[in-house]
Amino acid sequence: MDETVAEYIRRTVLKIPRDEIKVMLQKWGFLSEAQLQTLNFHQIKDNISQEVVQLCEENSADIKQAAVLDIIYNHIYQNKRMWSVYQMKKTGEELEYFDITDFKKKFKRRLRSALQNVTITFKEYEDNAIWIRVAWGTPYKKPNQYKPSYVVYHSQTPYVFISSSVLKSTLPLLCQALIVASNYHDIREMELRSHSLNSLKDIVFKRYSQNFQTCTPKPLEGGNVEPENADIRIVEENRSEKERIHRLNQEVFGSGPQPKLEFAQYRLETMFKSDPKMDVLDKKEPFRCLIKFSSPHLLESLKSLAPAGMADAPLSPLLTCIPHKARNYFKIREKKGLYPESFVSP
Amino acid sequence: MAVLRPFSMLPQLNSGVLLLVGSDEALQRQLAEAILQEKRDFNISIHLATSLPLPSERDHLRPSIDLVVFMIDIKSKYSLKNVETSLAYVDASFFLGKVCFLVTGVGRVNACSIEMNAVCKLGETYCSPVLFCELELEGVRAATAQRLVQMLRICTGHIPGVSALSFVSLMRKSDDN
Amino acid sequence: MQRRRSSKTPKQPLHVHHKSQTDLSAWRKGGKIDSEKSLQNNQSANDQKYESQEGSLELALSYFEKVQDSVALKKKSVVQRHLDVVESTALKQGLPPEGFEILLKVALSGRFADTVNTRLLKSLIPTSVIPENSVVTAVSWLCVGKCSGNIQVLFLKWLITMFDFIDHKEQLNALYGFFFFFLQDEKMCPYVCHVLYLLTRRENVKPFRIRILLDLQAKMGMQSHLQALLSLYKVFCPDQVTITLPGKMKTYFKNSEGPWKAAITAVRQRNQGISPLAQAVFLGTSRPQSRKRKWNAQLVIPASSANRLEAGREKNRLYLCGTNESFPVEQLQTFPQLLQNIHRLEFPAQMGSVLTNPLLLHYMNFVKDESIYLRLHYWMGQRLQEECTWCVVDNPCEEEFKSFLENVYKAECFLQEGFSACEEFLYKTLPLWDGVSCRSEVLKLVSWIPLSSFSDIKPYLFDPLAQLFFTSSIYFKCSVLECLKELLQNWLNCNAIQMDLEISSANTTLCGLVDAVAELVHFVGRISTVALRLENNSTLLLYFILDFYDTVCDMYLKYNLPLLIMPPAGVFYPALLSMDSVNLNQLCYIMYRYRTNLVAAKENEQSKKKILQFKFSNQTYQEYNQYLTAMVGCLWTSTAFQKDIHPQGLRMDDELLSKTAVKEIKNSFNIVYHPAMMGYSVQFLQEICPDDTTFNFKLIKGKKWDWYLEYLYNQGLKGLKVFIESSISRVSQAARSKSGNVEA
Repeated sequence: MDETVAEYIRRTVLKIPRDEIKVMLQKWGFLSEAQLQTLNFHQIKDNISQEVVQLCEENSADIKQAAVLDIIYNHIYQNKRMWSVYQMKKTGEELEYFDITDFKKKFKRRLRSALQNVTITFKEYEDNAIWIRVAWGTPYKKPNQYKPSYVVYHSQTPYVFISSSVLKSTLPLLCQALIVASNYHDIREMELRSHSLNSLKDIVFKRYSQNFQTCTPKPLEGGNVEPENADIRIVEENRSEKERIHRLNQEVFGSGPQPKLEFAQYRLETMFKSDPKMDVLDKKEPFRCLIKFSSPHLLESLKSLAPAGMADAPLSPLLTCIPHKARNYFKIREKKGLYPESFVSP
Repeated sequence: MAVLRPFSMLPQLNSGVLLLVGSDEALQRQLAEAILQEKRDFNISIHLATSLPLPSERDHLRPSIDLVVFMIDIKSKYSLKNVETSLAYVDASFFLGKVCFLVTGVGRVNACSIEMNAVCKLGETYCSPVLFCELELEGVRAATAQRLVQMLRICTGHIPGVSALSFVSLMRKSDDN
Repeated sequence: MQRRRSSKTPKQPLHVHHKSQTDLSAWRKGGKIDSEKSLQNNQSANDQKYESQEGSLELALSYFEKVQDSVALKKKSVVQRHLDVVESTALKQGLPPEGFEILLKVALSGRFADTVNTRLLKSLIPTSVIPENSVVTAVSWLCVGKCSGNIQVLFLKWLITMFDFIDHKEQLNALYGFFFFFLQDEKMCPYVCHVLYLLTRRENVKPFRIRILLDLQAKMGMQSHLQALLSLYKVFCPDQVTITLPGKMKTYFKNSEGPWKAAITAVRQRNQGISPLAQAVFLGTSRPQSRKRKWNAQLVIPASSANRLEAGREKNRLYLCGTNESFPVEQLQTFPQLLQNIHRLEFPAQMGSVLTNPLLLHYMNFVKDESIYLRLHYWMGQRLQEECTWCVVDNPCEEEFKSFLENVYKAECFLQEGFSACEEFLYKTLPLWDGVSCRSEVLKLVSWIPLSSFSDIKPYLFDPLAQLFFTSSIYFKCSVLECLKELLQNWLNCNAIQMDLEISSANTTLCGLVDAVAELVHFVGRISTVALRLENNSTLLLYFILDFYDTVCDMYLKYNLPLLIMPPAGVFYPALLSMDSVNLNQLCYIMYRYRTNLVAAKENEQSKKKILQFKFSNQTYQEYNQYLTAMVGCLWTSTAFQKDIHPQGLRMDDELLSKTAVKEIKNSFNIVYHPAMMGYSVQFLQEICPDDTTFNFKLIKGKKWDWYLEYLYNQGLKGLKVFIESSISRVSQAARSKSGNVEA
């Protein structure tokens, strides 16, 4: 077995928390149940990893198998990576039957034609998701297994989730391979990023609960507005106002839990407006400024702003449109028209 | 808009009415509960409002208010602005001892986003005492509740010989003597 | 004791493999052989637990000692294994003193990759002490420059964090110039400044160094670390550092203790957890706590020099006898020792340890060195600010902060003066105080606020205190009054001493003192009046108020201060009409002391004939006489309603009195009928005529009146006794009242 493969497997095992190593190896399925029995999981991780490498040596593992283990690890710890959503477009409306083997073949062929030294690994999951791991090399160097790209593609949808390699130059190649393999014509980044892959899926597949104006508003349940142990000595003066805030919040955010995003970023490229008489900063240059909101759970924080009395309800649509528009990176530019405050997508 | 007046209604026997105005409702409610737990010899009812004016549709239900406490969170500029706009809806005679500013958040001075000076100025302008506290800490909350009950006791006239006006003149930072 | 300690430290650093083993085991067994039995059991149990580990630690150390050529981590297994052993041992129980030289050498020699070096440095956590030799070796490797910039910085951070654990610092100080050279390195500069700040002694401050520092400052701008070092230089040589530096900075240095903080705490806890006695073995001694920085708040000063003294006795005999040699403070145990060595003492690096050490406090009081106060100020200010429980929500250790405040207070009591850091802290945080957290500790500190102009400190101290006072419970009110009494006494004491020294030459300071004290007394008078109202003339509160006036009424005689202030009517009358005999008795005593003071002042004025700058105003005499008239009228002649001439007094028209329909109304406050005295008079009646159950109080007159007085005195009403004996001349019943008054 190649030493680099052994080392790669060893390091991957070291990343896994000790009490999960066994389960993950079972999922991997490369080592037989009998082999797994021989492993002692009650020792320091370093030793476990050595033993695992030894067993793999017996089975003469190659980089393909090692890469599968890596995908399994990343599938479980997907929140450790930053994911970005891409959308693909077709010109026509031709509906095609999606064939997975065909997809794989085209994807590989396309990448290999551009770069020989790549490791490409696929793994399919139950929810129609195809996980692709690509480790990149150069024409003269073997693929660097420690800096791979991960792609999660749901067939039948135009969306791709990419956690790209630190080797930035590889991204165009990857995108090209993707559109060729899935019969699309164009791909673009949606400016939607998060650590939580599932939340991104919830947003683009519109899976999170969302109340739209068209829905018949439920009769206001007391649950959220009125405290359970209402003390008659405490009188809420602004109950109706609170109910209004609650209603507005429901309309905008829905009643369910919000998808998890960590930040939203607004790049302002608007003109500075001042009294023409003052004649300061009256330049045609845009006033550049970057505003970044960050939180462990941004949408939930935004949702609780108004009820917590930290902002007026309703919130600015700039903040509330994130899930609808499926993006958390914005560029706000001067609009040519009448409404300088509304924003234009690039 | 309806202006809050202290003497528009007859007071009730052996009771005090406190109005808490502040934008952070969770803290407000916790404080209200802490106040009700304080030992005392008269009845207290507490009205919670996020801002003034109070909604006029409840005017007929509302008893005469003895003490208005404006809550300001030093971590939130919004809370200060909210209080400043609300002050316009308080009748001037309230400021003869029936108003107090409660500044919370001193436990996170690093996250402070309003100037302490601005708050003190507010107190001076409106001739009302400014109390500092950290309502997030349970112990401090209880202590603050106790202080507010004591002020309410005076405002409702439960301590013979001490009027709200005389008391508030003691509470203010006086440079007259 | 000392012999035992010394056995832990081998006489020589390790050189060869087998020797290291013997030495290590000697170290390990050292504590065991010599300690008490209980400890022995504990130790050996402990030893067994770590037996295998220590065995492998020895192996690891010898490996690191021998390894020569650079080894890549990839082929690791061996390196990796030894590294793991070192790390786990360090985290569990710390490393023995012998380990440091070996590991520091490896880490700084650049033999391994940086990842290994970093891990090594991070695991350098001492069990007891770090030998100075090892640090000297490390510095020499640092100068060779074989390791990367990151490792250099990490080493300096380590050095700063572990500074207090290094057993002695003579040779390290000799390397001062080497450290100073590293200032030129931009990346290392802040940390080198910190090291120098810890290392600097007076003799290190040289003109050329000052010049270099100033050049650096000119080049790099006002950097807080450079300023810190410069300000220390300025303290040592104010004539040479002539630039003005900003007064007091928030923080001079960034925290360097990051990687080791948790580990040190853990090691300490584990080693302490074994047994309180074992602590002495592990950390050298059970000396008072050192509080240099937050993390080592609980740590004990390493008994470093004790080791040195024993181990190096033969070798260094001459050296030790040298006159320039400083005496290790860790060894200072007795007062005679202090006296013998007072000329060659040096403060420990951790100034905080001074707080809990009476001998060092003596010394501090004696030398009056400004640098000591600067260091203490810097350290204390930072700690107070970081840990203040009501200003830092996330600080969970209220108990620790409390005990810290308590220690500060005790040190202040010892030194008989307040710390300026403490004063600043109070001014800054009292306006934000809730009156609950650390109540007694904070109030105690308030009592040591130094005398300053009342109007200056009013907005920071008295206004917030008054606000809390009015709105808080009666118990808080009592504590505030008590603390203000202490404050008053501290002011009076300090200045009584000063006045003795300066012999009335500086009248301006006396003037300032009189003004400040007068303001304080008036302030207490005002808040007391209100408080009595708010608390419905509570007996408890009154007791504390009168306790304050107990000090006030004697200021002239006891503290030699030309000032007497009568309590306000709002205090006097509630006390006079109090329901409680203790308070009434106390009032009588206070009035007696006022009288004594006033009489003495009058006599002085008349006899000395010199023009006194401070003459009691007639108003004081007048006020006293008014009160006296009221008191005598109340308690003795039953004429208070007619004779009281105080504007807020008891005077009432007969017409009005008759409307009350109370019988014998005139008598109702004399010593027989007074509500506070009623208990005594009833008891007295029962004793003199046990058969009479009608309680005929009128019986108490003439001879029986005298008996009654005697009876009261015997019941312990001494204040009443001295008052009646001094202020009421009882020539004849008719002339009782007037003649007793002091004529103004």
